[in-house]
Amino acid sequence: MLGVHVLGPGFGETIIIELPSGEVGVVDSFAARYTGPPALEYLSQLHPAIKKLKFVALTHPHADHCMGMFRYFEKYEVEEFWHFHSFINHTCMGFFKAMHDNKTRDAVEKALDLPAGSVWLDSLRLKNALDKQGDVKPRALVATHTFVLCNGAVTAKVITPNDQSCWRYNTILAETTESLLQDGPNFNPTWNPSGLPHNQASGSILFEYGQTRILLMADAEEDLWTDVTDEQGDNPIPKVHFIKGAHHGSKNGYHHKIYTSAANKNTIIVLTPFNRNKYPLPTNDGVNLLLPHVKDVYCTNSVEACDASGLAWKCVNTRPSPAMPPEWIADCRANPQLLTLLEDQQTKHPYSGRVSLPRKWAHVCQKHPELLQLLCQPLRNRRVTAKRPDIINEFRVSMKYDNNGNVVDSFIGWGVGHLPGI
Amino acid sequence: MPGVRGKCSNKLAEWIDSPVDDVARYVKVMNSWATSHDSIPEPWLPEEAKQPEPRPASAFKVSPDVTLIRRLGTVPAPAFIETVTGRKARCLVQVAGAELPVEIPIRILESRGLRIGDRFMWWMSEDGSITAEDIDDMPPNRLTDAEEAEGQRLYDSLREQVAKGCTWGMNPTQER
Repeated sequence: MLGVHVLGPGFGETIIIELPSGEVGVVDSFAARYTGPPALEYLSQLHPAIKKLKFVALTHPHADHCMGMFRYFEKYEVEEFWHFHSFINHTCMGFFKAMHDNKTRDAVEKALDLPAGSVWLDSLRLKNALDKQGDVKPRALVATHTFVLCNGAVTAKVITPNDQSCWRYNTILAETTESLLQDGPNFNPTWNPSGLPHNQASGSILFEYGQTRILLMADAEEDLWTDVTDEQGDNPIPKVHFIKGAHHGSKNGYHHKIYTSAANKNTIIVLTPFNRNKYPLPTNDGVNLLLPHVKDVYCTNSVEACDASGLAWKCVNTRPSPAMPPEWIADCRANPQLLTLLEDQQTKHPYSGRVSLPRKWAHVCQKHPELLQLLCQPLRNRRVTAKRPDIINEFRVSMKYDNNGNVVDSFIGWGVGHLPGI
Repeated sequence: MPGVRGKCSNKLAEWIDSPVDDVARYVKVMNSWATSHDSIPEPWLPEEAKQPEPRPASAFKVSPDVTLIRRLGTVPAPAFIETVTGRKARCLVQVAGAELPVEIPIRILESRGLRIGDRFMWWMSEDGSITAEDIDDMPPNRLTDAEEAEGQRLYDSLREQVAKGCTWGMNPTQER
C-alpha cells in the first residue's frame, strides 16, 4: 500500500508518505518556536518501531514548511534528503544571515509571529543535523529528477521547478541579496527581503505506485506550472488519485492545464489553510477553480477554510466530546447566551462571534485541554496553535491506496472541511 | 430670584467689610522675620527640588517581575487585546492550542499600560477573578542569547566548510 497523510492545522503543513515496503518518508515540516513538530509525534505513534526514514524532503524555505525539520534528523536515521535546489547555496544561506543581521522577517515569519532569524537558525540546525548523520544522500528537487524507491515499485518524479524556474529564483535571490549591501557595509534601508518569492523554489513531487499516483504540489505557483507546460506540453502529468493542492489553495497556485491534465472525477484534493497572512488561504477564487476538476476537495482546518474562502466547508466526521463540567451547566443556566459557545450540533445555538468565554472557563480549559472539545468549532479552531493536544487527529487527512488506485483505508480528521466537486 | 440675589449681596457685604487688615498682617509678618529669623523658613533661597518619586508601576508598560509570587492556582496564557467595547476589552487568549475570546476589564489592562493590539501574559485564576498583578509582559519576540550564539557558531562552521569546499548540494545538475 501507498499511504499519504497530510497534516495542516493552519500554520504549516507536513505530508507523511508510507511506502509499500514499510518505509516512511516526510515532506516538509511545521512547528512553533519552542515545540517539536506535531507530525513527528504522529509519526512516532504511527510507526513506533521504525528508526530510519527513507527520505525527508524540504520543498522550499518558508517557515510554514521548514520549521523543526532538523528534529527528524535528530530522532531518525535518514537515508535521503530531498532539498529545494538552492539549499546550502552560498547566496541562500547568506540571504538568511542577512535577514537575521538586519532583524528582518519575511512575510511568513511575520505572519507566524516568529522572531527575525528563525528560518536562518533552523536551516543551520538542519545542516548541522545532516552533517552529524554524515551519510545522508542529498537529492535536489529539480524537474525531471526521478528517485527510485522500494526497488522500483515506487518512483518519485520531481515536477517543479524546472531549469528555467531555478534560474529565475536564483537570479532574484542574488539580486535581492546584492541590493542589501548596495551602499557599502551598511544595510540598504530600502531592501525588501519579503519581495523574494521563495515559492519559486517549490519542489512538487509525483509518486507513482503501479496505477496509483499521488501529486504533492508544495507551494508551486502559476509561473512554475507555466514553465512545466511550456517545456512538456499541455498534458505533462498523467491522471492522479490524490493531490495535495498547490499553495494552500490560492488562485496563484492554480494552473488550468495542469489540473486538466492531472485531475478527473476520481481525484481528491487536500488543501492546507494558511490563515495568518494579510491574504488568508485558501481563497474563494482558488477553491472555485479547483472544484470543477475533481471529486472532492478537503481542507485540513474547516474553520480557517471558511474564514479565508467564505465557502461553506462541512466537517465530514464528528468528534468525541467529553462530559460537560457541572459548573459550566450552572453558568449556562444563569446566562443562556453562553450556550452559543458550545458545539452548535448539541445546543442548536450557532456561535454569534460576540459572546466571550468566561474567564474561569478559559482557566479550566488550560488545565484540562480535552474540554476544548465542548466548545463550538468556529471558536476553538480559529488560529490553532502548536499546543493543540489532538492536532494530529483533528487536522489530518490520511489515505491508503493499493497499486490500482483503489482506496484501501482512509481517515478524515474531525476538524477537516469538505466541499464536493462540481 | 430675589432671594438668591439677597444672599449674594450679604456675602459681598461680608467680604467688603472684612475685619482683617491686610496691611497689618503684612507688617506683623515682616516684624516676625526681623525678630526671629531662624524660626522662619527661607523662602528666598532656591529650594532644592525633591527627587521625583518613582512613577507607580501601573503607569509603565508591563515589565516581567520574576520575584512576584503568583496567586495560588493561576496558570499562564499568552493573550492579545483585540477590541475594546465600553469598559471591557475582548482579548484573544491562547488556551490549549486555541485562541479563545475572553473579556477583561479595560481598567486592569490600562493600569498595566496596555492598549489595543498589545500582547501580554495573563495568569488565569480558577475563579475567573483578575487583578493587575495577574498581567505580565510577554517575553521579547527575538532569538534568545543562547539561540543567537548557536546560530553564530553553526554559521561559522558552515563558512569553514564552504572555505574548504562545500561537499554537496551546490549543483543540482550533478544528480540528473
